[in-house]
Amino acid sequence: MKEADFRDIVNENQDRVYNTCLGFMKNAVEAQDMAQEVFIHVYQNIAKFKGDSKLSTWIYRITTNKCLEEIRRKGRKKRSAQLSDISDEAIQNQAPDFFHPGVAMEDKERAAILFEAIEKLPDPQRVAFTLSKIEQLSYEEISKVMEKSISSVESLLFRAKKNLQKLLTHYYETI
Amino acid sequence: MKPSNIPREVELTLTSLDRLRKANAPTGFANDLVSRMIFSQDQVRWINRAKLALVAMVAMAILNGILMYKNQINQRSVMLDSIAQEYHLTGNL
Repeated sequence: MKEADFRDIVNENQDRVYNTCLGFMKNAVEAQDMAQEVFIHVYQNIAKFKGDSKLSTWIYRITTNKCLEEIRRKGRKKRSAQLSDISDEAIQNQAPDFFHPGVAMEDKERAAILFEAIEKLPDPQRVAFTLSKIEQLSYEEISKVMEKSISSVESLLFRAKKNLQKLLTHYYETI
Repeated sequence: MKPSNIPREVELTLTSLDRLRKANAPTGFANDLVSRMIFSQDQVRWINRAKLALVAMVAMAILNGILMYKNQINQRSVMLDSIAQEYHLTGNL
C-alpha cells in the first residue's frame, strides 16, 4: 500500500478510532497508543479486507477487538500482580479517575461513574453500549461491526442498560 | 454522599453520555503513527541483519571447524608417509 493511500485512511478514520479507543481504555495516552496499533494492523492486513462491508466498519471491528484484547491482557497482569478481596462485579467506591473530554461539564461526575460501570459489563454488552453511546452508531451500524443481527444488538443494549441500572443503584446505595 | 433520590440519580447517570461530543485524535496523530511504523520497520531490518550476521558467523565457525579437522587428518597422514619413507617401510600403517 502506498504511504499516501494509508495516510488517507488514517486521516479519514483517526477520530473515530481514537474516540472509540478512549471509550474503552479510559486513558488518553493508552487510547492514542491503541489507535496507532489499530492502524498498524490495518496496514498489515489491508489485503484481507474483502470489501464486504464499509472500510470504517472493518476498522471499528479491529478497534473493538484490539481494545478488548488489551483490557484482558491488562486485567490478567493486574490480577496476577495483586491479590484483591474487593469484588470485581461492583463499582469501587472511590473517585473515578477518567473524565472524557467531550462530556458536558454538568455531566462530568456522573459520566465518570458511568464509565466505571460500563467496565463491569460483559464484553458484547460493553462493545454495543460503547459504540452506541461513545460513537453514537446506529443499531444497524453496530450490528455490522459486531456481525450480529439488529435484534441481537437491541437485546444486548437492553441488557446492558439493565445491568448498568443494577450496578449504579448498588453504587449509589453504598456510598 | 448518598443521593436522596437514587432512581433519579441512576437515570441521570445513565443519560450522562447522551450529549457527549466525540473526542478528536491528537494533533499530529498521522505523523506520529508513520514515524512509529518507520522506526519499527528499521528495528525489524536491524534485527534481521543481526540474525543474518549471527547465521553467517555460525556457518563460518562450522566451516572453520571442518577445515581444521580435515587439515589435522592430512597432517597426520603426511607425517606417517614421511616416517614410512624415511624407514623404507612398505604396506599401510
